[in-house]
Amino acid sequence: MVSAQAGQARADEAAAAPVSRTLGPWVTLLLFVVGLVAGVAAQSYVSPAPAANPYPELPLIGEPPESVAVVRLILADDARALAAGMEGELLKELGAALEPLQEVFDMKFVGAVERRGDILASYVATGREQRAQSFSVGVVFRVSGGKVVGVN
Amino acid sequence: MGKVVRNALATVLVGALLGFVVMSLGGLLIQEMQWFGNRESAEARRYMIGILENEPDTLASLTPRGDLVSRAIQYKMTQESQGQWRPISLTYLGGLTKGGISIHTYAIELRSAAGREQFVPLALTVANGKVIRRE
Repeated sequence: MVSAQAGQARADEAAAAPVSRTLGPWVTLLLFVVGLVAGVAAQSYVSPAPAANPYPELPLIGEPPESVAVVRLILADDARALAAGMEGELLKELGAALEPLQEVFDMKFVGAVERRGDILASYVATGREQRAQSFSVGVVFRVSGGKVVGVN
Repeated sequence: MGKVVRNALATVLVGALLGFVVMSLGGLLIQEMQWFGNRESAEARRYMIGILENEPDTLASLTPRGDLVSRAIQYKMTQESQGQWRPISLTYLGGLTKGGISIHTYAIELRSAAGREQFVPLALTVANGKVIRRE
């Protein structure tokens, strides 16, 4: 009698086990989504957005044609045309701005601002440095009076 | 019951891990591919504000630890420029992220105590949360 009761109890336990030991598909999905949201929140916490800018910002403008012309000459590796189109001092500034690049593969325009006719046009130049490794530098052209007057 | 809790915790953990990794890698991929332009880095912004507000400690914390003399020169330059220029505007021009290195460019308007105004650009190169180049 006792043996029969114990057997029945084991059978009941076995029948109940799959229900109590597994989560339903919807609960599993819900828990997964909760985890996903927590992971996204944690990632946002460890890489926060930039702090608010306490200063006024100037509106961004399009790429000025004057800097486009210089960028074309740089990408064409045309030293003669660059020498014809730029003053010696400006060429030195350009050389310093492109340091340590020996060869420029790409110049991507990233943004420009204008203040009282003075335009700053920003580019990121990517090329090869002395050890033949790829490297990128920021180059900013100052455009005024329809020509490039400075390079940083 | 214990197994149910373990399963539930494991499910949440797997979800959290996946969310974290996807956001980290996805963010980098989006930056590299330039799908939505380049996001300004928090470090670059803090560095720029540190320059404009003359905060040598902020600048020191955001640059790789150099030798003693270089750090002293940095403090000296910050002290000497204190109050000479007042910032008028700070504009993020844009940048590019490539292989863990990001370049961020800014335009700054400044006014001297004598009323002279300057409109200058600044490009920062950021790697591993530190400004490794400023030009």
